[in-house]
Amino acid sequence: MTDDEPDPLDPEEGRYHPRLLLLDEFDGEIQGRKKFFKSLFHLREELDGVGKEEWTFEHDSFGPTDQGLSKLFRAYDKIGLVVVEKDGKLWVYKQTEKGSKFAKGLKRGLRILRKGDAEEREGSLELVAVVNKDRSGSEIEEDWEIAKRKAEVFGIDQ
Amino acid sequence: MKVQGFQIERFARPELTSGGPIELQGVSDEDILIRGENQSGKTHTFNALLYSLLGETIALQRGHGNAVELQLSGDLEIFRGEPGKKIHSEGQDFGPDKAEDIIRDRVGSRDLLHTHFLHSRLNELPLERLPQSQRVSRVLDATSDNLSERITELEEQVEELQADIERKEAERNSKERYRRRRQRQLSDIRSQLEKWSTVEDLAESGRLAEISDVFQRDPELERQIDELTSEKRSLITDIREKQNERTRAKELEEETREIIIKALEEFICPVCEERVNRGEADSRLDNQHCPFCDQSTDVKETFRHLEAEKQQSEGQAEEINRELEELRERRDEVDSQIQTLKKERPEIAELNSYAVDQLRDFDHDIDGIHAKAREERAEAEKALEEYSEKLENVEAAIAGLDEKITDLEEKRESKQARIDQLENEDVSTKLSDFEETWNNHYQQITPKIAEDIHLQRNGEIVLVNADGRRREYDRRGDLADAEVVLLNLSFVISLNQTALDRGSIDWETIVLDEPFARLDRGLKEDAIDYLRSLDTQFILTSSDEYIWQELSHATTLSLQRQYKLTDFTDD
Repeated sequence: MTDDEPDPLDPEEGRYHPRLLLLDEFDGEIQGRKKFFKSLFHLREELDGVGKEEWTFEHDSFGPTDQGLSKLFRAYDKIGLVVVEKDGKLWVYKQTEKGSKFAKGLKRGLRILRKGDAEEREGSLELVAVVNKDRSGSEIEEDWEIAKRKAEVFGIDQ
Repeated sequence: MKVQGFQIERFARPELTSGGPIELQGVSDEDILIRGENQSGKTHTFNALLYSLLGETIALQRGHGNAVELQLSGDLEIFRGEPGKKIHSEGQDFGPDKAEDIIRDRVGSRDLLHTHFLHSRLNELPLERLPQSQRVSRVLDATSDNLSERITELEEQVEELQADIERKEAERNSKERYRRRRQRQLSDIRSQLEKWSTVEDLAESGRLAEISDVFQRDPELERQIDELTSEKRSLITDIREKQNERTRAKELEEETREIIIKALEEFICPVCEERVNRGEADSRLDNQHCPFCDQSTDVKETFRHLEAEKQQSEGQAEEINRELEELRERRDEVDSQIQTLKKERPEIAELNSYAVDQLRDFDHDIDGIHAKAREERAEAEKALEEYSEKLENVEAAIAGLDEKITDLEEKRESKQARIDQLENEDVSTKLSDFEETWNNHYQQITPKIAEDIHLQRNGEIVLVNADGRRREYDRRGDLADAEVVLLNLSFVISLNQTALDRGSIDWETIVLDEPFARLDRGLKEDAIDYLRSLDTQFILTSSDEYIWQELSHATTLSLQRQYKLTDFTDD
């Protein structure tokens, strides 16, 4: 996504900061874009009322990709919430201490402002983390849902 | 510093100087009389002097293309107008970038200097133009020791400390909620640890094998215990959920605005890591801005969302309490049934819910249960250690915050006490000294009508006569016009004297535009006599021939009427 393109994540859903909170739920580190994208895709599948209209993924040879992630994490990196590094061919996303404080404050605040929605999202984040945290992107790829998506013709998921 | 001369090349309107520049040179310390008939430009000249000194005018649009020069004693010349402001001070020339600073440093503050110009219109006199509260500030300005600046500075520091305290309190509230969660978690972990330790102990001692034998001989007993244990566990889960619902319902009983402010205590700024304090949040919400980022975005949606949840939850607290009561009663019943069974069969008395589950899940494999219990007990001990440390950390953080809050509060109180002290002691003393000076001048400038002046702390001015009758300066109709003029004149003389004595000003000139027009002959006589007795330089404009005679000692500038009747006829 270029800087001019809109975020494929609907702003209504964006208020729950799913990408940042997913990184937090993965204990602050995700190794590999594939693992991150697929976990985000899993997250969307888990959320009631959040579909391709609210959060659009594009599909390429690596499977579903969230085109908003890179731009957002560049911004997060600039203000010191995350560090995005490249280790050989592997992209590594790390949460900083400041990012961890921000994410935890966000979770607690949202629990007060929008308890029902926030708890549902926390439940989904926990589930995705339990399933995917200790697996590589390739292992996650074996999942049926992702495999199904990959089998589809490449393009935007609509 | 006094006026030694001035030159008005152009000012406000071309007719003023159509006969050539208005100028006066070579005045030493004496008074200046600017005399002329109506429409001769006296008020314009008054304003030109004010303009040259401060760049301001009173009740006059000064227009463009002005050029006015003012010569002052102490080798200071000020030119203002086209092509630009410049200053000649002590042998050096300075441009507009330095001019104002030099005037302020050498002569005095703009506000104080402005007070030395008394316009002919009553409503433009200094005490009329100054709001009540600023009357006192102006007196304090004259007392030189920057008292009002010091108080303002201290008040700003108190505000900053208050904002800091509120931020720390927000952080503390957030940590306190976190501490309560950790305590609940620890209580759960302790309970798990106790239960796993019991299972491990039962397995190790062989008593679990005996219980297993009992169950295998009496499957009905095992079924009963299993069912009751499952029901109890499910009831405990339901109770916990209901307790959560009740907590939320209580949260929602608060005002929506309060709920939002509580949420803000949790959010931290992704840039500076600070929290928004209550005062900031309140003020932003009052301005219809986002309480977090202060942008003028619509926050109504957040209010609507919470209002809808509040509406749904309204009146539910009672229902939740009733349901909780029922669940607890049922749990106690189940517990009691379990205890009855244990009394009937003492050999299973030590059994707990975890052991029941494990016997079922491991199909009475005691070694398997023992291994699992050992593992779980170790996990629980590790978790207990980890969460105890987390609790200790958050408690230490809360204690640290309490200490900081106390420290900040002490600092705030100390600064507030200093403000109170400055206001109550210094201000009172200064106002009382000034009041004495003012009364002294007022008595002398108008011995026939003067009454006691009282300047209150809030800036109110009250006149009290010998019989104790009170009249208020600001209540229209209480004072005659002549009294208003003389009170203003004596106020400015007192202010000038105080400022000169304190060294807060180097300016000894008071400029008056038709000051005696509203005074009868007797009052004029007394006032002029008094002005003449003072060292202060007075520059007066007047169209009154009596005044011209009385000020024969003054340097005189005569102005000519700028219009003739024939200017308005065809020929």
